[in-house]
Amino acid sequence: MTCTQLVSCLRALSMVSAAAVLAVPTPAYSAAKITVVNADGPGEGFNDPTPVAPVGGNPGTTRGQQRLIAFQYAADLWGATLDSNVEIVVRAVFDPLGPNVLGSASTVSVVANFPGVGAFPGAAFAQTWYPSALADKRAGTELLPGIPDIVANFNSDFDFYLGLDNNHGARNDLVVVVLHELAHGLGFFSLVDPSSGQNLRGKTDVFSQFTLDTADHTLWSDYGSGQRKASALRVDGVVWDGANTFAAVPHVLEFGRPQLTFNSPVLSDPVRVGTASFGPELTAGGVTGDVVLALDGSTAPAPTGTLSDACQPLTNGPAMAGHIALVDRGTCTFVVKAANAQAAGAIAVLVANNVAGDPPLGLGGVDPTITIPSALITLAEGNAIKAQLALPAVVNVTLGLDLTVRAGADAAGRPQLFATNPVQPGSSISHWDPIAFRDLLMEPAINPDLTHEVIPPFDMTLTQLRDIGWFLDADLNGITDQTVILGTCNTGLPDVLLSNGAALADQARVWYRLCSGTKNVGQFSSCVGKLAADARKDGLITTAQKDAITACASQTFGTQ
Amino acid sequence: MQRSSAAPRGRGTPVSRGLRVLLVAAALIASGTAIPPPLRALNAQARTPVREDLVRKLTGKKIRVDKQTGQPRAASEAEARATVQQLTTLLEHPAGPPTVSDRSNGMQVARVDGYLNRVIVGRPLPDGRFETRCVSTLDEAVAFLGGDLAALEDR
Repeated sequence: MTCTQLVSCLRALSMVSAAAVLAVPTPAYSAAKITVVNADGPGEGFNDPTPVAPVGGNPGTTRGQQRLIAFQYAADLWGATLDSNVEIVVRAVFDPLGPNVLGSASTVSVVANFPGVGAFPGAAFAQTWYPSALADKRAGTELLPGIPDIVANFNSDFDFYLGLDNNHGARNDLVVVVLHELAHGLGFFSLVDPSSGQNLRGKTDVFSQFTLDTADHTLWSDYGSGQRKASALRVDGVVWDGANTFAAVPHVLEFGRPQLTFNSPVLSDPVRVGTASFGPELTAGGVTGDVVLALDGSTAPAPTGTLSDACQPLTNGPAMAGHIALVDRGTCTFVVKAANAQAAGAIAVLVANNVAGDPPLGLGGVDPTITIPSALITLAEGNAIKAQLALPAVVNVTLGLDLTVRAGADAAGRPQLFATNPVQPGSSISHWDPIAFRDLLMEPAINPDLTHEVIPPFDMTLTQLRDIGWFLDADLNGITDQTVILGTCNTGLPDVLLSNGAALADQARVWYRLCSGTKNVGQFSSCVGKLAADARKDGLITTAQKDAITACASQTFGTQ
Repeated sequence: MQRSSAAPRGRGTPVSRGLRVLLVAAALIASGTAIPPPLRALNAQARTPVREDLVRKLTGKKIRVDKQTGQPRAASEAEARATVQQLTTLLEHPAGPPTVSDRSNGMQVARVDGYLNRVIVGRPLPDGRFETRCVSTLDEAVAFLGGDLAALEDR
């Protein structure tokens, strides 16, 4: 029988899935139980019987087993990080989706105006949509019995790395992709259609309660649809206004916003640029020089080539030497353009986009022989510079980093959401701005340097979920924890924000999770104690905090 | 509950149609021949017209991997059509916004699956990696795969 949307089938599959998962190691105790319902048919997807060798800590011996183990591993990472007394159900399949799709996911339902049971608080905001998993947690009960919280459809054609150790090399790490998709399902999404600014059925959503336009300091939940539509286009102008994430920013994002400064004439304020994956990184001092249009004397190949796309060796080498090359995007790779400019003596390269759009994103490619910095600017900025050069006027610029601003935050230190012009419906607003550095799990792209950690100093996804209402409640009584609880042991320590931007309770949960693979109370206690001692040595926690957490570790082994 | 205004007319009463559907469904389930998900998806694709403008945008773009060299290669028109067809299946939204159901305790619920689908698409890079993007519309997916949206590697 093929399982579709039949509730009884889901329940049966849930039990099968749970049984399968019990047979393999899990990374953590689950403060929130996230059940992956394997909805694949026999012999395909999660049930693919193709024999494979264990990889990267994934002990599965068939492709299907390894997919399920890696998927559940990612679910358990979230389960160990959040807490809820209501099971979170993810209905998942692996199907052939062609060569250009990794996977898809969606929250199944959103809920508004739900009450809480007993001490559970219910919705924090009235007339506001919540994803069902968060609504259940805050209600203290399953609000929509028999309906999964998240549906996920991944691609069995795609060659994912299925190990659990993040050692994915050039392949895409399934665990990271699932972490990203589940985070959307847990609440990292806006229900506003950024193309129209319309709310879902006239009601705001919990994400919009923290989405702030910096021009007039107004939340999206207080805007009309026209204002939201305009706001979604304001590059660098939309930020996340949650206290937990604001506190995390200094510990996650690094100083250094890549930008181009117009020294003379001052065509505008400094503009953000897209950085290159080849050549030297931009520096604080930057590279200053006059801009010269790169001319290669050829429009080949037709019809896309231009005289200034630098796809052939430059013909104005003497004029270029010692200056900054302006080249058109298109026709050939970025590294070819940079190499031709470099050969002509350029000290840096500005690639002008050939399609309208803001912000400019990154330049990809690999060429270790490139020794000058490159960056992408918008079509409009490129045209403005060209207009000056045509006068003719000298345009002097500096390409470098602004060390007064963190990459991915505004001047006030608030993390930027991804606003683009024109709007990109799937990416806009419901992701962090990809200018962020370090790279973040919830950027629109899955970057290769992401880890499996979702707390500061590695990431800000957990803090965002805390902001929207995934409150700490390790004992699942519906009341926000005032003290740090490790497993079932109350340390008595007040929960405080650590200098790395994580809450002490979240940090302690990570240690609990990291040590949960130990075999007995002695090993577990020793493992937690060592991590706490290291944190003490690093100045992250106090001696009293270390001692209280270590003492609790010996009392809580195997309790969850 | 209101009936869909698009329901076919003149083909028997709703009751007899419903009975027939139930009987057929029961027979399919009993015989173990219910359509498995991949076939359902293919059938859905066959019914969905493909946007030719998007096929043209992807034709010739290096979105496929050459099995011999491992390098990105240009997609043929047929391959571009297959990609657009698959994306259409994943990203085609229901015609209208989701309906909201009211519960007796004041709670309101909206089903948003399908409406809110997010898809991670990938295009191959010369070093063997796939550059990825989380999208929610067909146009956005094709713009990314075709190289208009993100400028990570022109070709």
